[in-house]
Amino acid sequence: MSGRPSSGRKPDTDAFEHEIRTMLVRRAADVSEGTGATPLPAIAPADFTTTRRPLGPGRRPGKVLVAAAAVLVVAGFGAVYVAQSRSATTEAGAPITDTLPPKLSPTDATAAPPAAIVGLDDVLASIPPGVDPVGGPPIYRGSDRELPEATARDYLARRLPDLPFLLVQVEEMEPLAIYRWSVDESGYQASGSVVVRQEAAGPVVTLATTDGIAVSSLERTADKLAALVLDDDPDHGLLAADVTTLGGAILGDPTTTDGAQRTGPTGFGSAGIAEGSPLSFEVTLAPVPVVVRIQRVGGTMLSITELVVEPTGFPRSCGDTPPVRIDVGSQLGPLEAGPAPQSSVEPLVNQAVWHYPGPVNTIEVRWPADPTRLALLAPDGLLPDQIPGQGPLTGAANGAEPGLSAGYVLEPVGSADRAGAADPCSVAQIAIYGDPAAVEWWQTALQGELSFGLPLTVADLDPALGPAGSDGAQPAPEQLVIGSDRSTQRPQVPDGACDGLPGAPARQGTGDGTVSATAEATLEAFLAATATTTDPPLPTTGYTEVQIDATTISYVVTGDSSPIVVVDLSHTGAGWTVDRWAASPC
Amino acid sequence: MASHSLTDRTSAHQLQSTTGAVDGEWPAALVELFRAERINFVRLAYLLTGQRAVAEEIVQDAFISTCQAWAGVLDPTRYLRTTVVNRCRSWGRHQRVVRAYPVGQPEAVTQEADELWDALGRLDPRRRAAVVLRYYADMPHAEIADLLGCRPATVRTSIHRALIQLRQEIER
Repeated sequence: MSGRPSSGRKPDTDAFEHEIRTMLVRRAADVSEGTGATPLPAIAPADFTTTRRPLGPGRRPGKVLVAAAAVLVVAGFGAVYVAQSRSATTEAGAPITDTLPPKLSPTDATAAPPAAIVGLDDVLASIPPGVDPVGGPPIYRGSDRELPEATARDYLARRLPDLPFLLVQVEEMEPLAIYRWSVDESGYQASGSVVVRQEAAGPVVTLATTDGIAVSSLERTADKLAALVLDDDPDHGLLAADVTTLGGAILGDPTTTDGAQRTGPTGFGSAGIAEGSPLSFEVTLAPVPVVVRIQRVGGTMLSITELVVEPTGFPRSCGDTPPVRIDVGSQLGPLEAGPAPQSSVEPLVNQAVWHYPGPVNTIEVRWPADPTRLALLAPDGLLPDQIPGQGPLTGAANGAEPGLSAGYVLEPVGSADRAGAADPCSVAQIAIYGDPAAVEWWQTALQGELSFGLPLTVADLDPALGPAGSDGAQPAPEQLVIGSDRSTQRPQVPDGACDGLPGAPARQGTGDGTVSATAEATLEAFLAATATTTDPPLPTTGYTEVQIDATTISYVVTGDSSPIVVVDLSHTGAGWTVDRWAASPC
Repeated sequence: MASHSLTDRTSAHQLQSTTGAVDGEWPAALVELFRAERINFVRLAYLLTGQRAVAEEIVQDAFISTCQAWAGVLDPTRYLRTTVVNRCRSWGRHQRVVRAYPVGQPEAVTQEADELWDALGRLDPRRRAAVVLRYYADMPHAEIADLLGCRPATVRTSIHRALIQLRQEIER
């Protein structure tokens, strides 16, 4: 740990910073090494059904709905529960274990069987995060006056047409009823659960599971669904996966079997099929909810696992009022419902769209953002301010009409209590259409305003960068200009901005008269022209463009705490020119 | 923590091999990284979350994530550090949810009172991350900006406002 000496700051600030450094180092020392080297364990099979579920065993039935909702909110961050459970027995200063975590691997086909299923808690614990049998769409709808048990029986009879099954209700909590099914036929045994929800129009099945079958690594984006399925029964024959519409129509091209009692063939395996476990599949889809159906197949359908998976793009409506308000002043009209006239992208189902109309440009707010945009923000389910932001997107890529320019920013909205890691309602899309200069100005203004006016950051993403992960694209350090900012006044290089030379005055000079069409070209030409006349020469990379107003720009290289180089430019009738420059003496 | 252990991007860069991750096994380079750097990442995560068990869990998950993405990871140390920081910030944002729906007991507190530490815990995740990365990991503003996905000016602003908030809180 090495503190950086700094100049030009108040002594009490330095002392406070030192105090913070000391506190952090002291607190970090609370985390001690383990006691000696711990041998690396063999890669253990992951228990996909229980390890990351934020459900506690002590929950009471009366709280199940609220708790289940909480589960779905925090499911994207299941580690919270695991960590907090451990924390209850963690004493301060205790050494941390030093073992590698288990690694998910397709070879881990012998996942431990789940614990005995007794109720909704256990059913919820056996399904992937994001699947919502409490509030999500149904997979099967019974008749309007049917009892829930009859609906469950009808459903199973359709899914397991050749197997006699037993059905027992194990739990009922309005509006949910949990049933256990089991078969024991010719030496084949299987069991599972069915969740039925009572609705005004009649009971509906929202989830079916098979004991020993785990849908793991479920990934659903706006246009893709992928999963790894593990089965602890080695003798079942085939393991088949299908993706169906909510109405039950199989998407893709299934294999068929006639079975024993059916009047017609039944399809299976359109998404994937495997001789035993594991089964992995990936299908391309529209951004709509679908049903994932997993079945053992051995001459007929031997089991049923069905769950609804909603796209991360558009699970539900986010709200009826704009999540962000933009002070558009007198340049634009009041907010109107509907997309911007320049936009050729129709609003999607459950996407709310508004716009501020104007003669030069139009600002449009979409909530949630388009799935294609959200997909850019999805690595590891992280929110956009965790993604390195890059320059503006312009042109038809945003659906603009030819000849128009369009840019957009993606704005995190709401608060943590509604913004799950993969909650699309946590992101609004603000698009600007119209004159290119106006688009750029608004983008910059929105970024600056939102960055400083709200505790959130706007990340404007360029799709050309591709999905940005932890190792996402970032400005190359050798770039002349690495970022932009706004300010109301020219930045200054303070005297003494050079460690070791307290009070040394900043170097200063004037421009060389070069005029270029763009500010950046002017800066580049100026630096090239002065490379031999300044000592030491001004840096040729790492500048941040600070826009003061429409005709005034400064380029700044910042040291540890203050500008060390400032080049001031202004726009004349002929173009941009350098007015003056200043730099630290070192 | 030796600050260079979390900021040196070149040492781990050479660990990338053509073998990549093998199903059921951890890449040897990642195992080495785990042994050498895990405790530093846990300390960083601890400073970002304030909870030791959470820090451990986040680092474990980060290593899993890195292992699963191994074939595309060019700089494991940097990848891990970014993943850890991001997960810590996500965790911070989710604390309101967790508090609204408590599912476990709070961590046993046996440490002495520390106003500054408590005040650090009340910073929003971005400011907390900026402060820790600046004053603990000793990273320059530009590098913090890269990691947090914002501009250096935003980092400076975050730190500046964090210092003001911290000072105000401990002076109350």
